[in-house]
Amino acid sequence: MKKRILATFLSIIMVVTMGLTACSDAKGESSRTEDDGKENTEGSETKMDTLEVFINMSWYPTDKFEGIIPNLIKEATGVDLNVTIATSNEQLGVMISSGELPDLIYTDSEIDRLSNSKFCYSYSELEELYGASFEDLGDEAIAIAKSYSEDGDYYTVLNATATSDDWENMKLGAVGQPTIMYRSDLMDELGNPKINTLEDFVEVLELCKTTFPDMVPFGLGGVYKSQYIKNVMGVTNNIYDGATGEYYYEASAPGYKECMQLMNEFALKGYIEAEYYANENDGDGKQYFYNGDCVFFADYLGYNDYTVIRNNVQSVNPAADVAILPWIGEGGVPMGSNAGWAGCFVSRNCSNPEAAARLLTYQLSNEGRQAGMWGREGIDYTLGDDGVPIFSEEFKEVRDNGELVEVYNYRFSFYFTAIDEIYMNLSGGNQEILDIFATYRKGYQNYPELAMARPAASTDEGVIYTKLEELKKSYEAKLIFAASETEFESTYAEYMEALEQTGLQQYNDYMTTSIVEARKLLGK
Amino acid sequence: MSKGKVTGCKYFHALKKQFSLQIFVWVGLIYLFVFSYLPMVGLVMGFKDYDIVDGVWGIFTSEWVGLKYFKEFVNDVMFERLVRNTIAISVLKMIFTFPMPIIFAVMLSEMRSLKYKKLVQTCSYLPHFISWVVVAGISFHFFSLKGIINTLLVNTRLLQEPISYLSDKDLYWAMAVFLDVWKEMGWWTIVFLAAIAGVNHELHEAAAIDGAGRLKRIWHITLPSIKPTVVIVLILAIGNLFGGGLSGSNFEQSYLLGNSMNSETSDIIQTYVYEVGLSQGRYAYATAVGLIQSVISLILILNCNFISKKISGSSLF
Amino acid sequence: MLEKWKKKNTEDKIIDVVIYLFCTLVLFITIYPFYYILIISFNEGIDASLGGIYWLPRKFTLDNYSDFFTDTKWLNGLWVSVLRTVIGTGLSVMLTTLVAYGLSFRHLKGRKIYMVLIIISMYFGGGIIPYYTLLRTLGLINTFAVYVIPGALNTFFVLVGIAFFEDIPPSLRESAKIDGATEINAFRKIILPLSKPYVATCVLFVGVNQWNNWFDTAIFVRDKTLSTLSFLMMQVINSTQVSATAPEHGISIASTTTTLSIQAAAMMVATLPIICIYPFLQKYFVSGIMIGSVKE
Repeated sequence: MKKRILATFLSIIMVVTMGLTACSDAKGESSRTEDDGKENTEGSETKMDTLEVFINMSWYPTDKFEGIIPNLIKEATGVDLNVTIATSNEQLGVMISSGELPDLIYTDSEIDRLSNSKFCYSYSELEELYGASFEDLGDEAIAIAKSYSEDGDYYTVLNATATSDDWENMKLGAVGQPTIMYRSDLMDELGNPKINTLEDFVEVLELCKTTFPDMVPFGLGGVYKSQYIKNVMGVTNNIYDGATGEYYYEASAPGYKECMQLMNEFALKGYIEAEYYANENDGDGKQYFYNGDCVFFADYLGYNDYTVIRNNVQSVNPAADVAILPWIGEGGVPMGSNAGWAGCFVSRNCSNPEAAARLLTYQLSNEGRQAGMWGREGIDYTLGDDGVPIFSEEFKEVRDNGELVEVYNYRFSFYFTAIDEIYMNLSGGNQEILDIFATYRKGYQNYPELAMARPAASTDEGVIYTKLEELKKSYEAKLIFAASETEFESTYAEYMEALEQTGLQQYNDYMTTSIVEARKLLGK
Repeated sequence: MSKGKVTGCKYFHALKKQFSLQIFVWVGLIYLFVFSYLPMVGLVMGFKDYDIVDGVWGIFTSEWVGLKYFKEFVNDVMFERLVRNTIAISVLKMIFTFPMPIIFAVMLSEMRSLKYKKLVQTCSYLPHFISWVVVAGISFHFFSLKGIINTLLVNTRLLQEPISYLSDKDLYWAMAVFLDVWKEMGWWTIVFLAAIAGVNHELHEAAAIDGAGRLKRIWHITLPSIKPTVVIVLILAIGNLFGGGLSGSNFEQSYLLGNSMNSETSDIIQTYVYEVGLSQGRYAYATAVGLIQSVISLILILNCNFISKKISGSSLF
Repeated sequence: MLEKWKKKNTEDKIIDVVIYLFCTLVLFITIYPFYYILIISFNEGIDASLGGIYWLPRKFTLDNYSDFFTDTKWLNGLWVSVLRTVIGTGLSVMLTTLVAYGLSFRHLKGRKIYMVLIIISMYFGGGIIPYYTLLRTLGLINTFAVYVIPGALNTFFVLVGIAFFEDIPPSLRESAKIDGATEINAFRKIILPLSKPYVATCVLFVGVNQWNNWFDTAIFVRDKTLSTLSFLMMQVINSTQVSATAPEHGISIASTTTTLSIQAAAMMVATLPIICIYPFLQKYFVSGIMIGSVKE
């Protein structure tokens, strides 16, 4: 009896699942035949070459070479991509050591290991042997890429780079810096107090603490934590004094202790909350803000991101509104580096280097680079006189809905400059918000040499750097949430000693000399 | 129990007699040789200046560096903290997580209502199927400041102020053990229930007629009869002491539930080696530290086996 | 029922009360979070994060599951997972029980060395790179066989099996052999039927490992038609977690889903088949097969 019931139960489940999948199956199939049809008509003109690409970023939001921009790329190059997204951090390491790399690798790590003639074609080889040409590529981008290899050749070009000149001439604000967002409806309630300096900010936090006792004044969740405050105080991960040529690792920089003291004061006065701080996950960190748990919230500067956050906050509480805090630093603090973060490699195993060369030639040309970020010229954007794209209403609507990846899919643009990306994010946006974004340019100086100078992971200094970062994770939390001044002092002393023992001096020295070399490469 | 003795037989005669049995075992040994012992040559990486760009053969051709990585690990500023946390969490888990499935299995076997028993058992192993990633996500909903548990305790006035279970460094060890018990108790109960299922019912009945109470019967019949299983699982759990015992959950827990606020108690050897070794592609360093753990595990398991043989008579080998 | 209860002595009653209380507590503590995942998976993610959902979804949605029913790869993944679980478990249980049975004879020549070899293999490993090379040399990379062959010998269950088989009276086997049965037949016809609890446990553990394993797909298999359900699930979970290395290039989810709500849905999809299979195996644990009844 029981068996029969179970069997019936199971078969019902089977039928339901089969039914559901069958439905989707039918859908999938019909769309596939459509695709096939399209490919066939295209195929009659040019034959499609398919390349395998491995994307070494497990968070990558798309795994299909589909959408408006991929179609553009297919049309222009005759190359289709078969995409694999990394699921495990060990995958690429195993591929490298066993020499079993796929055709293309798009990665933000192991760049120094892959920049090796044993594994990959250098871009100059692609030019010589397979007819690629990278005429539009800037010298600085090449110099940055060369800094990763030992033989002076370049095996990739990193995206999101910006030459100093381009950076100077950029028309719109910056993107990607640490920022603070806040609930502007609550500021209205407080009578919109001015926040022009750090002191103002501290006062407002106090005001929030007394006026909204149920909320945490300053939510430092997720990835960014105290980064904005640090930047305002001139403390960043990499500090480079352009005048003296001196480099400091964050914790050894002048002003670091004061910065930590201020954060400790925040904690003692209850402006920040330990559990929020403990949160490492970006999504969970934002969730606090969506739910109305905090007034100010540490995040990064992004137009699309701002829209999404605002929508989410309002979907929880329709009366709420969100604004971005302008840059309140004095400026002039050298920081940041537009040295790129990921690049595309063509492996020695590539089944069709000629197709890869075609793809890269297109993507690295001005035309392909811009199409990769902005879509079809004349349809999705037209280029303004100042070089800033003017986007179509349709593009802007998609952008405001946060559906750029789904519809346009700019994620398969393996090369773009920081400026392309900023224009894509900002051009045609709300002027008020753009004005706020513009204030952040003061707090950002373009120093690609900082990232170029960083040691490879397997070198002694690379190991030291990893360990310094591990120490930071644990000691900064302890400093910020120290229960008293004496505890703060003893923790600080302990931290400094631990840094010293781990090799802080060696790292600082290495970077200082290495930056000089990097500057030479950049022709500075 | 009497066992057939092979007395007076020549060695080869005995071997011939157990020919089929030897074949069974040898199939397994060949398997072991191919899939475990051949790749073990990779252990030499721990003593070599090996980088993955050297390819596989680089394991053999790269330069010897002796105990470089071992020294690097022992001289690390974090070394003391890592060892302390690893040992503390592992031992606490051994004390709390290991006995729970046995107690639970005995309780289930003593249950009169078969239906309820089945229900409880079927449900108790469900958490096993939830990955630690999700457990971490759920525990956030239950244990955070505004989570279900704090809300409940504060509303019922059992607590004045909510407790931040997830970011308090004094609570991490307790959380680790609790979540481990929660997730794996029901699952490991299956092994012990299977052993109890083999216990002779007549013995129970006979003892009941003799007037033995229930506790007495559990103590004198049920427990002794599952002793071999318990001992073997215990020895294996101790062998995996630093991995987190039966469930081997130390790494995942520390990786997912550890954060900058509780790192003083949540940083363990495995996560640290992962951060500064594997995730940077430093396989040689990771191998070296892994080797230390392997050796400690082997010493532990051999000693446990020896002690258990002396004391209880049952052992692995 | 009541009469039965009256007949019991105080000790019995106390034990019963303790057991029932404890088990009910366990039942609640384990089932409730699971139930919680279920309702979260059917609730709008952002709404769920506000808390206050205890018993029923507040804003019902199927959004969290949308990924699973819009792509044919999930059906294929399900098929591969079922296949690897069935074949892998069968192979593994066969090999493991045979080896365990062989080793359960205390007078087996070389037993001590065999045991030490097994134990060493449990704690030492050369890491992923030599292992990968080995599998490549054997031609297993990027084939279905890589799911079922390399891990077929489960050393943990070899050791548990030895403890179990040692308890079976040797006289049973000997009498079978006197009747002229070969070793393998004696094992199959006499020993195995008596070992149902052990075999069922072994099947369950190995089967669940097979079902849940995504790591081998990630490292050893590139062919997408060989992707398993758990691997696809891992991809979903991964892509919802924004990387800290390049956060400014992370995803921004505009819909109502959150990391946890999608994970919850993925969890339900992967767990459901196991929950359906389990009752079939469970009868072996509760029926109390009487091995002891033939004890001398």
